Amino acid sequence: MPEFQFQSLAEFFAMGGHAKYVWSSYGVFALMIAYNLIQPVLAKRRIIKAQKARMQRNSA
Amino acid sequence: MWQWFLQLGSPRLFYSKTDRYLPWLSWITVILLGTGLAWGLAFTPPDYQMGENYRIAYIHVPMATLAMGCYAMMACFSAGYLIWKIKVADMIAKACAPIGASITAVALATGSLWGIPTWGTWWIWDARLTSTLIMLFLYVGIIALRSAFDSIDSGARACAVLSLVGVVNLPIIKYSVDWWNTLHQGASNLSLSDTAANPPEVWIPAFFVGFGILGFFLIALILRTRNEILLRERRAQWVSDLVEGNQKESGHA
Repeated sequence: MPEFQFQSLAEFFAMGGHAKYVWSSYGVFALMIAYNLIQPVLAKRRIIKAQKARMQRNSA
Repeated sequence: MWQWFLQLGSPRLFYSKTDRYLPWLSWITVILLGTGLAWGLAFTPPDYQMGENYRIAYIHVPMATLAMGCYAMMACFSAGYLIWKIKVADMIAKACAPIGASITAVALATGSLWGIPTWGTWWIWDARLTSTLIMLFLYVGIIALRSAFDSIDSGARACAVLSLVGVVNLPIIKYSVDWWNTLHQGASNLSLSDTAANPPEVWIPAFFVGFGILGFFLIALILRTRNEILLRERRAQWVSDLVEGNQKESGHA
């Protein structure tokens, strides 16, 4: 079984002195994931809203 | 199999089928990515030369691989659009560009962050870095090119041609580390034996992350393609029904 490789949580966050490189890499990665999932969800809402408005105009 | 593939060529069937796939795909992705990232970050031993900094490789390597894979996919769908005029193929190709651009940007950024303590520089005009930067410009150029057209069909054709021309860059990226004496290291050979450069405790979590990221990519691609379908098919009855259904749901809530 894989074991936790750090003595403490503080050491885990310190990443052996490489904290800023490791965590900013994972941060950039997380932002990219968030952007690519949130953007299409918001876009879909906009599309549906515009479509509803168009349908109401047409039926009126 | 073939039947299933052909059905995805219909915008309406693509929409209804992916509706069923998305929850499954999301769960698999969350499990794979969660396990892989936790494992890679905390449960694999540090590298004997790079220490903890090598953990960046768990995202850098799959990001760089997927950046190229996404380009190859975009080019295939572009070819599919040019040859058979499949509209969904163009919508998928269109969805590939922004995702590919953001993935390439992350591959470059994580590479730089890894390079500062390891190489002593965040950037060097070495063959692999430069060709990857060119791929980022290709993605951005394809996005810009499409937005320059008013007609959907003209924009689609122009982007498909540019995507196919840009394929020449893919082997350059892939083999740059063999063809030229680059600062960027060559590919590590993943092997099942313990004596390899990458023992199982390193590559097993890497596979989890890799497939998790692939799942994320498919989700992002499907979501964007579905939006494009809604936009382009907005005059179809099934889209009206779908929007009305949405209205009812939100009315209850």
